[in-house]
Order: sequence, then structure tokens, then C-alpha cells
Amino acid sequence: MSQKLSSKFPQTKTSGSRQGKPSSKRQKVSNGAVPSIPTPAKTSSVQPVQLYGEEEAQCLKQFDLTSRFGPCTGMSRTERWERADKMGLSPPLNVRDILARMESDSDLHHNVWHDRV
Amino acid sequence: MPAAARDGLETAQPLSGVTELTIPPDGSAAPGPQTRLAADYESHDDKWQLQEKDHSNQYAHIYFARLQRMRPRLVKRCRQKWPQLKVVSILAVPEGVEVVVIGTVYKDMKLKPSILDEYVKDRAVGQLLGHTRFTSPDDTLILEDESARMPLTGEALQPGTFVTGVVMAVRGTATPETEGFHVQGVCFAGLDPARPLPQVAEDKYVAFVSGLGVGDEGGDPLRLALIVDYLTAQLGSAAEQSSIASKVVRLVMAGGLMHSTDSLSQATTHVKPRQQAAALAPLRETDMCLTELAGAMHIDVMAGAADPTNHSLPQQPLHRCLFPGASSYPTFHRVTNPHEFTVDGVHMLGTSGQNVDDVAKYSTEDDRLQILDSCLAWAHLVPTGPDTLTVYPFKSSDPFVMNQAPHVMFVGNQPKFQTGWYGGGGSSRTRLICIPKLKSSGMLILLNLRTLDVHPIHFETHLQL
Repeated sequence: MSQKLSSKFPQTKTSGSRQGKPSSKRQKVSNGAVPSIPTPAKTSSVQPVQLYGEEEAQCLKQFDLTSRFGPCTGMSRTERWERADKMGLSPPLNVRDILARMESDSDLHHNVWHDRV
Repeated sequence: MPAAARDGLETAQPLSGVTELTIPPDGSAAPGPQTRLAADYESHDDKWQLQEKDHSNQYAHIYFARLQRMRPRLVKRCRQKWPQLKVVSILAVPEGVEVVVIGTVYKDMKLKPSILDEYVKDRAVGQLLGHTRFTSPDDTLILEDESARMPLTGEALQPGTFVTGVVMAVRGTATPETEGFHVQGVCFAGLDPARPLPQVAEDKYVAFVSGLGVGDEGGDPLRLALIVDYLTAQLGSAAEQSSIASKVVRLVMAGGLMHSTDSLSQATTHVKPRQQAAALAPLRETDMCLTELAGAMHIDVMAGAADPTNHSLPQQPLHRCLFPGASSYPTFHRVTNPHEFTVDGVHMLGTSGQNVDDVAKYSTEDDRLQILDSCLAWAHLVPTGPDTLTVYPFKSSDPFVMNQAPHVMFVGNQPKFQTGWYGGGGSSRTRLICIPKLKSSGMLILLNLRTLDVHPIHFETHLQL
């Protein structure tokens, strides 16, 4: 069956095989040549982010998706929190704390739709 | 529309609701120099001065801010009006129980122009032929809040006079049989009554004019010249000069200085000097007239729809370079549109007319005074913005929501002169003024700050004897 299909659609087969081969090669190379060096480098770059783990990121995302605090596009999370606070909607305090603790260049300051819409 | 089609001379006949400002020709007025009266002035335009110009935002924010700002007031009013009913959000509307819902109106109009119409070949043009406005009998209303939207039905609701963007409360029931929410009553936010009018001993006037249309070849420049002469007390008898002209403390130009800016916006690289001079002629002419006025009194110049500044509301002040002569006077004030200020404690708010013109296009209401009245009842200066009227995409506030009724609400560039009152009796009423275009009506309007009486003064250059 598989041979029949592939013979019917030769183009897809060739492109698939093209894509497959180099990637598998790359993986092989990376697995073989540099197994130990990149992992410590990765963890060192990840370290500050660990302060705001999955739980915090989820919490911020949840804040973005709460329609009660208004639309979230086009403004930073801090701006939106402050707007909601000014309007007396009592946004969650832990969101502000997470945002205040984060360094200013963190991606988590942007709302969940940033660069997507 | 016979009323709107009336031309200048006919409107000079006695108008209802206004008193003629006539001065008996007595010889007692002192000849010699007169001193113009002064008045305290305070501008409240800061909320319309754009600090940043970021147009990348979506308009959802301004509608959200509008609803948030108006909801507490509507809840309060509903508690007074319908104390037995519960206020709920749209998603929480129970079946078969009468409740109150607060939300923003969206008027579904089949004739409303859409950017997608160009892809539907047989629509757009055909349907709009013969129409002067975008309303049709089968328009329906939809109410939205942050959670959801629902269609409004019921005989108590006449969709015609509503427009998109109005925030209101409706009472009614949702039943499985009726589609949507069956409305039994509507409540608008309304305004806090105006402060009591300050007690002033003497008459002082603020003059209003709009739609000068300088540079219009079919226009009549003599009218404007006469108005300038009248206000600078170079016209009329000595009695008139001392009892009216010298008491005009301020002139407000409610937009529409130039007839058109088309000639200004042509490509500049290959323009001959003569063409350039011709294009700038209306601007020079405006500057000359403003210079003469600024030399005599304080003038506030608001931008109008066709004036050379930004198009979206709030329109920013016209650039000082446009008026090199007048700008050198400290009495020349370039202001935003809308414009809000107090003169001797009298609180005034007004626009150059785009807000009322746009409501007129999307509502069945013809009467401009009635539209102005509705805007105050809706507690919103520009209800149709940003839907059909361009408005700056504010992020965290809607500066057009009104809280307190002003003493005077004016709107420029209207088809005819109209005046009336909004709100309860006594001293907390709001004076409404529709200022006609000068080029079609030849009218200058004086407002008495002591009594809030309005006196139109008519300038006619063609004597039909």
C-alpha cells in the first residue's frame, strides 16, 4: 500500500525524504558530538526564568484571558493590571507581584497575544 | 425639510425662544474710547491633548473603558428607577425572570457602509440610492457587555433613534419563545445636574461663530469682514458699541475656518510659486481676520472637519505656523475640538459638529437639538465614535464620557440656528446651542453669561429691497 501511495505522489515523497534526511543527520551529529557541553549552557540561561516557573506563567496567562479586566491586546500586562486597578475591578494581587519581581526585559511582560495578532 | 432649506434672510425673522438684542439709539452713551470687559477663563482641555500618538491599538479598549466608566452610574440609576429588579450580566440572564442588563448598544443596519461591500458586487450602491441616511425600518439593536451579546426585541424599543456605542440599561425578560431579550424599559446614564449658575451683576457676552469657509469662491467675504468690524466695535452706533461690543469678552470659533484644504494638500515639489501663493491665499486671509480679532479680544479657535489638523477626534489645536500673524498675540488661543472651558464660572463644552452630524446619519432623528439632548441623556459626547466617526484609540479611558452637565453645550457647523434647554428647571439647566455655518447663515451668536440667553445676530450683505 505504502509503495502505491508514494508512487502516486512522487513529489511529496521526495520532499518528505529531503526534509527527513538532514534533520535526522543533524540529530545524529548533535547527539554524537556534543552531548555534554550544551546542556550546562542551557541550564545557566534558564536559571533566572526558573524563578517564574510554569505556575507563574499560567497565572499570567489566566489573567490575560479573564475578560472581566478588559481586552489585553496592544498593552503590557502591567499596563492592563494598572488599568483594571484604576477602574476598581480588583485584579489579582499576585499578578502584580509576579510582574514586579520580573526583570524588565522578560517576555512575560507581554500579553499572551503579543506578536501573534 | 423646509426648515433646513430656509436661506439667510428668512431666518432673520423672529425666532422662537430667543430675544432680539436691540439697543435704543439714545445719545447718552459716552463717545470716545471704550474699554472691553474682562472675564476669568479656565481651559479644561487637558484630557483631549494627546500626550502620545500611538495608533496601533484596537478599539476594543475604548468600548471597554466606556462601559466600565458608565456602569456604576447606570447601576445607581436603575436602583432608583427599578428598585425591585436585579442587575445581571448578559451571560447570567435567567429564563423567564425579569432582570436589568447593562451594556453597549450595537445597531445592526443593513444600509451601513461596510469595507467589505466592494467585494459584494450587487449591493452597496443600489441600496443607498435615494437615501440621505443609513437607517432602514428593519434595523435591530444588539446589546453587548464583556461577556456576550444578545439581540433586543419588544415594542417598547424603537431602534431608530438609538446609535451604536450608547451605553444603557434595559429591563425585560428572556424567554425560550421570544428570540433575544424582550425589552420593557430603557434607562440612560444621564448627567449630574450642572452647578448653580454663578451670580453675575452685569451682562457679559461670549460670541460663537462657525463654518467661516474662507476661500470659498462662491462665498461672501463681506459677511466675515462685517462680523470682525462688529466685534472690534468699528460698526454700529456708540450705544451699540458700549452696550454690546465692549461686553463681548471672548469669541469661540467652533471649527470650519477653511472652505477646503484640497489646494494645500497638492504635491509641493513641482508647484509654481504662483500656484503656491494661490493655495495659501485662504490661509493668509484667515490669518488676517484672526489677527484683527486677536488684537481686540480673546479668541478660541477650534479645528473643524475640513481644517488642516488631524482628522480623528479629539482634533488637536491647529499649528501656530498656519497663523503667523495671529499667533503672535497672547489673546489668540488654539484649542482642541472638543473644547471645554469656564468663563466667569460658566462651564461650557462644545464640538465643531462632527459628533452630531454623525449621529444624524445613523439615526432617524432629524432635529439637531434633539440629538444634542440625546447625547447629554446618554452621557456621551461622541457616541458613534469609534464605530462610524474616527476617534483616537484610547487605551485606558474614554475621555468623551460626561459626568456633570455643563452650563452651555454648543455644537458648530449645523444647518440652521437652534437653541433650547436640557434638564430640569431652575438654575441647573443646560443651554443647548446649534451654531449655524457662517457662510450659509451669516450668523454670529452672542451668549449672555448672566442669564444664558442666546442672541443671534444676523449679517446680510445682499439687501433685497
